[in-house]
Amino acid sequence: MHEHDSPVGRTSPAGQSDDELLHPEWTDRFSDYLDDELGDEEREAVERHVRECAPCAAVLDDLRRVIDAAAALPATAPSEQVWQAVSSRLREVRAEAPAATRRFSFTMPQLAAASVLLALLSGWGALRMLAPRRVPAISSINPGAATGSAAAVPVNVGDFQYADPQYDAAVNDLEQALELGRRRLDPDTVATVESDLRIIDQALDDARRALVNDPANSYLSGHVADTRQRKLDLLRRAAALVIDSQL
Amino acid sequence: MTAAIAATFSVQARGATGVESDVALAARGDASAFERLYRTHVARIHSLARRMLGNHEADEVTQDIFVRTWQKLGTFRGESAFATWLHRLAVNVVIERRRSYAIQRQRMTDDPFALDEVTVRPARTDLVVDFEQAIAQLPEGARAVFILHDVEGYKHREIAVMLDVATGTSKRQLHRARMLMRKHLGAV
Repeated sequence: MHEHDSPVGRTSPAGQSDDELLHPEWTDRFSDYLDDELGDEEREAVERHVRECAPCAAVLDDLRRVIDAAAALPATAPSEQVWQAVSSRLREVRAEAPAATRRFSFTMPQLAAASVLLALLSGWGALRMLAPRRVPAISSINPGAATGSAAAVPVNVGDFQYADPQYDAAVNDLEQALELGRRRLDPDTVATVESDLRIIDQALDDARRALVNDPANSYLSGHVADTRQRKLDLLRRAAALVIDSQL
Repeated sequence: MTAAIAATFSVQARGATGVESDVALAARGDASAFERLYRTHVARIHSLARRMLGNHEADEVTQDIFVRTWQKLGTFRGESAFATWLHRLAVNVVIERRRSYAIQRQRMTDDPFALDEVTVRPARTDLVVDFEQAIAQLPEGARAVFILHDVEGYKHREIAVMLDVATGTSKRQLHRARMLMRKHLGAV
C-alpha cells in the first residue's frame, strides 16, 4: 500500500514516475468528483481509492489547487484608452440614433412601485372627492347677493381660496417633487408638463376672474373644481415619472 | 396626508440602488451613468476577453461589448442582476469573435503537448502571471471551457449551449484542461 504522504514528482523505488503509477480509470473521474457530478456510490468509490492510492490522491489535491487558483484569478482593468475608444464610438452611435428613440422598458417591480405610489395619491384624491366640498357659501363671497343688494362687493381673485388647504399643500408637495426630479426626465417631457401646467393655471385664473363677475354661476365653479383636479392629475403623472426614473 | 406623500417619495428614492439608477439613466441616454457602469464592470469583462481571445484582441473586443451593451440596454428587464446580464452578453460577443477567428487560430487548437514545452521553474515570484500564461497556452477548446467553468463559474449545461457542444464534451475538455494546468503548478 502506498503511503498517502509520499511526495508527488518522485519516482518509486522501482523507477516508475508517479504518472505511471496513476490509475486513469479513477483519475478520469476526479473532475466530476470535485464538481459534485457523481452519484453517491461512485463518489464513495473514488474516496476509497484515493485512501489507498497516494499518487492518485496527490493528483486529486493538485486538481483542487488548480480549481482554487482559477477561482481566485484577479480581474484587471484595461488602459484608459479603451474607455476613450468606447466613448468615441458611443458618440457616433448617439448621433445616428437620437435618445428619444430609446425605449425604457419597465419591469414588474418598477410598475408595481409606481402603481403603489399612484394608488396612494389617487386614494387621497378619492377621499377628497368623496368628502363634502368646502365650497364657501355664495353669501360669504358676495354678501350683497344674499340680501338682494345690487351693490357688488369687489373681491380680489386671491380671495377665492375655496378653503382647501390640503389640496393646495398636496399640489405644492408634488410641484416640489417634480422640481427636484426634473433633471431625471427627458427635457421634452419637462417642457410638455410645464406647458400644460401653465395652460391649466391660466384657465384657473380666467375662471376665477369670471366668477368675480358671476359668482352664482355653477358651471364656472364646477369648471374651476374640474380644472384643479386636472392639475392634480397632471402633477401625479409627472411625479410618477420621476419615481420611475429613480428605480 | 402630505407627510405620507413626502415619505413615499423618500422611501422610493432610498430603495433604488446605485447600479439600478445608473442602468435606468443610461437607458435614457445618460452618458455619465453609462461611464459609471463601464468602470464598475470593465475589469471582469476585459479579463474574460483577454483570457478567451488573447491580449492583442482584448481591447477591441471589450469596446465591442460595451458598445453593444449601450445599444441593447433598453432590452434589460431587470429579471437578473445587471452584472449577470452584461456578462452573458460579453460571453456571446467573445464566442462570436472566437468562431470568426477559428481558422487563424488553428495552430493553437489541438496541440496536446502545448504545456509540455512550458518550463516549470522551481520558484516563482508572480504565480498569477504564470498561471495566466499557462491558460493562454491551453488547447483552444479546453481553454474556453476552463475559463467559462473554473474562472467565470458557468455550469456545463450553460457552457454546452454557449459553445454548441455536448455536455459530456464540456466535461471532458474541462478535465483535460485541469490535468494540463496541474503540470504547470509543478506537481509533476
